[in-house]
Amino acid sequence: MSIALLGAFLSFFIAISIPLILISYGGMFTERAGVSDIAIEGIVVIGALVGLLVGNGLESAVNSGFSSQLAVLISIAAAGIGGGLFSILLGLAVKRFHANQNIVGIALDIIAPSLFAIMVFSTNGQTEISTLSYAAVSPSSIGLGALPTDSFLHSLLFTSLNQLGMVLAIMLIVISSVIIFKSKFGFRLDACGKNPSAARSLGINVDGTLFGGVLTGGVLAGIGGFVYALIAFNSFNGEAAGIGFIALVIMIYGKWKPGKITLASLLFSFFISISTFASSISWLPSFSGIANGYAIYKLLPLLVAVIVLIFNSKPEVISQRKKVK
Amino acid sequence: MNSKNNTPKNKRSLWYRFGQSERLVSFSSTLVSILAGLLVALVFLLITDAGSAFAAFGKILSSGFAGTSAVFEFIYSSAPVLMLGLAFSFTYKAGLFNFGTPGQYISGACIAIVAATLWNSPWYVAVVLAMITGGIVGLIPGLLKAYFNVNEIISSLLFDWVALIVAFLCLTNITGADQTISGASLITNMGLSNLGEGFSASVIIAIVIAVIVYLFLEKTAGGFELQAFGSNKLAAKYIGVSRKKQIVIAFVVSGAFAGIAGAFTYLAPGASIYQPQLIHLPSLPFAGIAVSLLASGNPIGCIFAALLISYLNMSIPAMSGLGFTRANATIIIGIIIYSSAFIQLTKSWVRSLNKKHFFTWLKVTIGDFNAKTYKALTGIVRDKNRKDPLDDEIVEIANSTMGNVRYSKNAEVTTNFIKHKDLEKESKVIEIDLSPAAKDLDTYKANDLANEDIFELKRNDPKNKGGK
Repeated sequence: MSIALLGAFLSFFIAISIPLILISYGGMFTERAGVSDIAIEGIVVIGALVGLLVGNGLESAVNSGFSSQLAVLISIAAAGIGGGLFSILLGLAVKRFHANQNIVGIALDIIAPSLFAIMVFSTNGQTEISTLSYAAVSPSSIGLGALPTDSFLHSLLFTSLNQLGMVLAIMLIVISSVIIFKSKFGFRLDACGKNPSAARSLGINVDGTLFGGVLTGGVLAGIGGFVYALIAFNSFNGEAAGIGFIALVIMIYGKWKPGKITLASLLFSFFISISTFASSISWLPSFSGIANGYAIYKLLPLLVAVIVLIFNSKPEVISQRKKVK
Repeated sequence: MNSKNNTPKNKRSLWYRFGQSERLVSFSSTLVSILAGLLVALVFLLITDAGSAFAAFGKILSSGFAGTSAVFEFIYSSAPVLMLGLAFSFTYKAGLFNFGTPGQYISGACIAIVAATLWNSPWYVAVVLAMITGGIVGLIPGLLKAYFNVNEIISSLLFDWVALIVAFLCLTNITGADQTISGASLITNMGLSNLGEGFSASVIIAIVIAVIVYLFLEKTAGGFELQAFGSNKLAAKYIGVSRKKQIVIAFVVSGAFAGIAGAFTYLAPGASIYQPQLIHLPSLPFAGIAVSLLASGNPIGCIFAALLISYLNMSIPAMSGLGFTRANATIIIGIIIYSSAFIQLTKSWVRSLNKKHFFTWLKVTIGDFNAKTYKALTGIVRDKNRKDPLDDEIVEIANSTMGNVRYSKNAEVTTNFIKHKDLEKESKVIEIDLSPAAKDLDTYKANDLANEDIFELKRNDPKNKGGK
């Protein structure tokens, strides 16, 4: 394993953990609001869709001198709005109309890729959309042009971590941790999710708070989806390949707490990085006898997720709940 | 409605009797789901290409009846989607969600293709192999749910991608590019090839299985035990149903059905070739979920719902000809599933139509209007000093759920969701079962959906009248 490859690996490892954390935080907010977030996969796709559509729309402006990083920030905001709007479909259905949350969730998971295909097809006539070519920061623009391309530092900084959008994403991670633990909204969300009747008796607007939780979750997951598409793909085709569900597993493993979710995300981003870099890491078995042996490593994060689920599920207790007067 | 003379006039009306028939209301709310799906599809067609949108919408509506061969085609191509609908129904009836049908479908298809190309096994052997494989793949989330209480939704969704990757590895290594299936490996068309090129016995087998599943679920003790946990966990535990056994059985049978569906899709004469890949899950299993939800899990209903979905799918080739993507057809399925989740809401809406109390329904569902909107919608000027009769109705129902029953004639309106901002305490959403069956009892059951708490209320109990 060369030093440049190690740098690239670490770069991808850190970069991919950021959208994972964001998406898991999105799931955390939604589940703290008492809604099981099966729709997260769909929200991720919609976030990526809106962000990429806006970002590609700004491409001509960037070419004519508009700041490229500002365009990325606008795209991120658009992705958040897109994810938030899509999660309204979940929040309204579950919190207002008391529809079955699992069915609504899987419906949104089906609708999102179809919506992606329809919107992308009507924009550029293709099934894929390119992930912003201008988003990456070049070494010369921040005064590191002299750095040799095969050095560790160069591959660490400019393989996957070369986007200023990352900084905003990290800030969002910190802000949402603060919201959960230090803000009035965070406490109220907790109270309303755990015991709506008690919260209502204190005069808290329960429906509004829970809806706010679902909306915040949607915004975070949408931004996470956009950042994920930027990092993991050259052109995105509307299939997040289970990243949303892996984020749900991370959230369960992290016990719905920001700190633990961050650690759990690092674990999963390690396995995702392994599955991405498997063909170039020499000491991993290459399964040369099997055609397309690299695909075996794609099983890794999924199987780890299942194992994590096994060890983090509590036994089911069926008992009579206390009567409510 | 025992004797016509004793029944009040308003209860003799056709609308009233329509509202009292659970089946008709269910059927109408299913239609509402389908209409919603079609309308949203039209909106997206207009967004994509306004010029040819109505032509494409016409294709969606008419492709299945484009000729005799088209009619036969949509009927016999409904077999896989019917099996997938039955697969989802089987777990749905047991109170579980098997979103792993795509994975089980792929693994069934994979083993059937391997059996047909590599071993040239006859079709029935391939179908049985697909059934066993699907059952094994279904067994995994079932076992995890039964013994570790792993959330079956997440685990089964994760196994979809596991199955997709394993099938990719399996097919690229074993069969390679050559997947032509011929001779005895194709499902027999029983000498009826003049019905259509792709006709096979699979549709008949699928319908027979649907009837068997219906008989099992509705007429046998085993079926009752399976459904017991779906309807009432506590009661099921009380009568001694083994939860673990039921979960495992439900998932294995469900997986087996999905596996059969995989074999039916790719062993049919003239079927398309499965393209092994790592990204896209097939969309047909999700159509199966729509089938099951449209039929509320009823296996006989699944037959008709499968015909409908198959009918809608007939439009895909014609739509691509008009410059639309496949996604325009898939989104209909997504919207149908989405609106199926609102089944209680649509039912109450359908009932509100027949009772001419649509605006009450709107008010309790959407929220209170302000006086201006209310006037615009109903033409009634709301006087703050004079109480609105519609308000009375809501207050009555809300009161009844607090144990403070003032049961009035008005409260007979079957409103499933009550919300009233003026009543601070009662601002909970409560479902009241006012079905004819419950009316005969002396007690009403009100299920608080938000808390899943169950409590009983006495009706017309003089002790409860006039406050706590």
